[in-house]
Amino acid sequence: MVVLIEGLNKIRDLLETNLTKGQNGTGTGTANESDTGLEVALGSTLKTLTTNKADKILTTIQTLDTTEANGLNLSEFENQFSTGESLIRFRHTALSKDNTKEFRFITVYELEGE
Amino acid sequence: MADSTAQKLQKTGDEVGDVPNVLLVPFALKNSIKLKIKNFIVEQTDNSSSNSFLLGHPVNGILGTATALGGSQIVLGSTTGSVTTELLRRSYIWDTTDELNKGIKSKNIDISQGFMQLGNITVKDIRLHHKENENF
Repeated sequence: MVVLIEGLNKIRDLLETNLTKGQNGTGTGTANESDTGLEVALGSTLKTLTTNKADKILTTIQTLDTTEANGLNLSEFENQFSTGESLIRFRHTALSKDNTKEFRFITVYELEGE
Repeated sequence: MADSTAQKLQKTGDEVGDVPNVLLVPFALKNSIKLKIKNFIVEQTDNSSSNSFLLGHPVNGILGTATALGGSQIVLGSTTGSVTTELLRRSYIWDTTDELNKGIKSKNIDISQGFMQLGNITVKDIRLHHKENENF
């Protein structure tokens, strides 16, 4: 038995349909598999993702424009399903946001059959 | 890549419908699907709606004329374009050597030759370990 590329790409499409939100936060705790979201979520940064697709690959992009999250040190990021569950949480170096900057948080997923 | 013996045996059973003529298959061949995070990148685009980039500005410094600043200022830089810089990149899967190097090279550390020099100490046999559940 093998997992078919066609099937992997269908899963990618299903993921794209349902993984629709990105959100930033200011929490500094280490990310753990048992987390259920961001440590300190910033509700104003909960935004709809834009996506790109390639073979077995899904790229999601969260954009914070110059009017959003200003004055904050962003230190965590998540991708959410449309129903609110979090798929991933990143703890990253604190990034200072102000009205001269636009941030784009890009996550690249790859599906693999083995 | 060629199938392992165990894979061949399993394929025989799966595809031909026969039971392999062995007493024990060392392990069952499992086919699974993985969702991996390949990269996480943060980019910053600087808003440059005014023509006010000065020489020495951390992002831009192009010779030009100031139109949005007060008079009598010597300004180097005049652009309406935006500048995008990569603030952060974490690579979890590397398809090519170039991608790998992008993830490990810095001005101070280069392990592309298989060793790293720390003062009088030479660190050899460097192995890169990819943690599946990397926290950062």
